[in-house]
Amino acid sequence: MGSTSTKIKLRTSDQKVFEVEKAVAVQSQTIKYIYENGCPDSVIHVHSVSGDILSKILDYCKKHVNSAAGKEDISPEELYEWDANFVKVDQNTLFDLILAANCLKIESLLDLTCQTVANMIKGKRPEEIRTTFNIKNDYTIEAEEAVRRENKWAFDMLGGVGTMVIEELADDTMSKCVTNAKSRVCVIAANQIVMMRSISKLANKKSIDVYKQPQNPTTPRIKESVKQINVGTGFIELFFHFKCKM
Amino acid sequence: MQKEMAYSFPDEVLKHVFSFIQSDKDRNAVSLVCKSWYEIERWCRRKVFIGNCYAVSPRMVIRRFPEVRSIELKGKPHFADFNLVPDGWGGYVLQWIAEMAGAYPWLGEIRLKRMVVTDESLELIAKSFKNFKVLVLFSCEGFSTDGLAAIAASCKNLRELDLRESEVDDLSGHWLAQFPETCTSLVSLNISCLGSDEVSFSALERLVDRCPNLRSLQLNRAVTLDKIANILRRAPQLVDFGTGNYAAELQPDVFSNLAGAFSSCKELKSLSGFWDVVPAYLPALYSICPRLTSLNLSYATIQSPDLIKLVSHCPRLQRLLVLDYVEDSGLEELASSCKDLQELRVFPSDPFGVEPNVSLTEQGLVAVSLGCPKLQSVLYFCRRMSNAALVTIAQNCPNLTRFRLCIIEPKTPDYLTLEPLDAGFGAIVEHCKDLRRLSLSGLLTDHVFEYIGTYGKKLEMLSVAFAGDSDLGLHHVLSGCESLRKLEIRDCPFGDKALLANAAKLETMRSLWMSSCAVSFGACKLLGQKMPKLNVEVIDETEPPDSRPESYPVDKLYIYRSVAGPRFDMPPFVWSMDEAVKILH
Repeated sequence: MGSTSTKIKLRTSDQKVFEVEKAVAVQSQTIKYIYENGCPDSVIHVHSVSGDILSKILDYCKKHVNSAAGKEDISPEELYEWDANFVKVDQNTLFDLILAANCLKIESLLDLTCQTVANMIKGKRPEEIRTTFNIKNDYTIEAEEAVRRENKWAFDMLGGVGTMVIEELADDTMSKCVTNAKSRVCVIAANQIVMMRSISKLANKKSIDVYKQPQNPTTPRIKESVKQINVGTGFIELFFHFKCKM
Repeated sequence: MQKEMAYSFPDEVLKHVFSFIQSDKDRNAVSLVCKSWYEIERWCRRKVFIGNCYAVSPRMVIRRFPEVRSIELKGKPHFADFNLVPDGWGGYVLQWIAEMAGAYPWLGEIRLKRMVVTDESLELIAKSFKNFKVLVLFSCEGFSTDGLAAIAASCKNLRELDLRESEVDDLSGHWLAQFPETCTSLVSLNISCLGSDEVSFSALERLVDRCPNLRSLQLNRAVTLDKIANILRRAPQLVDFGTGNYAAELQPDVFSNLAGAFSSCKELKSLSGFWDVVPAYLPALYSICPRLTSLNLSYATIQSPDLIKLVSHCPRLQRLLVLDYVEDSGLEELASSCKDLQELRVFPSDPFGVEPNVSLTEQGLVAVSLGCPKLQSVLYFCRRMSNAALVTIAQNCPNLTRFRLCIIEPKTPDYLTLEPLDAGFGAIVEHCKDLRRLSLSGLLTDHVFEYIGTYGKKLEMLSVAFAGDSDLGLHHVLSGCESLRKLEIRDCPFGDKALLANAAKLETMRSLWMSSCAVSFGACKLLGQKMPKLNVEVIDETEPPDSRPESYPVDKLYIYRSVAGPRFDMPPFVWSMDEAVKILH
């Protein structure tokens, strides 16, 4: 009797019951903890997650477990695309996914969904962000003006995209990538030089596929032919430290 | 029906979302969405950039962002580079360090530009921040190698020490030996500005030896050519290398050793240094030239034929800094060999000579504009220019983001037509729609400012000298350039009218510098009264401005917006127009 055929039962907030393989279910640190510390035969209640959302989450976990275990023939590129499609949902669903990923402690899914929300925020003015997320502006006019002034006068940088030259990779950024990760894929913004030596060193010679992000964020990512370093499942975006050389 | 995001997300989730948002602009936008986002964002902002150290106080920064790990500060105005800002003006970092020492025990990175850094400041940094990793002192001054010794000795995980273009009181080279044997974390070391004849080279060698992650190393002039091979063999992983002086008697074994050492550096992409070059040693670089993307020869007195040979080996070059010895012929070679060129800077070898000493004219720049389609950034010193050449350059390079032209003799007209260069610069601003930085020179009337005001909608920084006829010129710029943030002007007939009429504009800019113009003391006082949130500072080293009639023009004027109010560290020759300060002064 292999542990891979063990099933766990999950009951959602709307009383739906899902029976899933243990390997898939324990992608959630919360479920893993309950399973290992509770009674393995009874049903685990996931109070805060609805059936629809759990169903999607289990799809995600299954996909990632299978591809990591080699059960599914899917290239990192394809998995990345699958993830990108996974988050192409309406906003309510996305928010439900974030809350569920947070509550169930599925780190890679939380990263994926939070990154998606972050992308919805970047480049927008505050009014646009409020509209996108239907947030009420509770600033008084004076308070808002004071913050706006301080932001602009004290904490404002000139310039759009300049001649960016990578000075070096910030080690803590790199180690964030590696320790969080479970990444098979890492995406670098355009015009940035990748120090493969440091990636492999910090990744302890595991494999990451490195993708370059093009200037136009809507065009698909282009895979750079670099050394493969496997680290696991999931998706993470690397942020590089760089300085503007004027 | 959409949910209200702010109420349904726990703080830690929002924090996680914000951790994917790095740019200051986006973070600033986030802080304005609503009050709870402001709160969450301010606790997780780790990196702060302050473009003018007097625009905000350390206390205000600490109060708003309690968990900063990285800070960048800029002090003196840009014209300090041309000796227009007297010594003692300000830009002291000590108070910042002192306040941050208490508030940010985990501060890991300090980057400063044009600030006065004392040994006391460096010692305080060494003592206060246990996790200190990065110190960049760009064009700073006020410290000695004693302060550096403190940093070297205490900062156990130092990754980056970069002293580019700083003025260091070089007391001894032994500070390098202060890096403990346990320090193996260096990634970047730039000591190119140090003058000392005795850099402790053995200490340097041992340091390089034990730092396997060293990527960037810039030596100083005192390091001789024969030592380069030793260093490179210890650090074949270098990406960016600056030589010391590049001169020695030509000896075959020294040459082959050097060439071999360079060729073992498979990742080397960027070179600099090259003081006192002996051209016979340049071929030692040929093996790495095909990979080079950046070459800084701004100290190298190499003549054009040798430069041509060198450049022709570097097809991937993106950035070239060079002296005008390159001449038009060298730039023509650059244009044909280096199709990836993005940035070109040509410096004058003899700026104070009356007659040109080299054959570098506008033709060189025109050739590069034609041959290098990716050209974005230009700094060019020359002695003659024409409107036709500027129009050609503008049409060839519509993607220019920075264009700084310095015709050495002020008020030089178009050499072909003897007309002002208004039309030429007008073409630049008209065609280069993404132009962010522009420096003007040559004979220019108010017309050029009309063009700039009309077309320079993305212009953020403008430098003007010996140009214009009247206040109308200044008015065009202040009223037309929507994105203008930094304006620096010297020796132009701009007076009170344009400044006072556009006073409100000054609150949308980081700073305005005007020296040897026609702004009266009375206008400065009026501006100070009208715009209390601006710091209006008059600089006069000869005598107090109120000892003369109010209509008398001030020598130098520096105006900047600030949320911190007037500063109190002004030297006696700087006069604040703020009412409160005047009483105390």
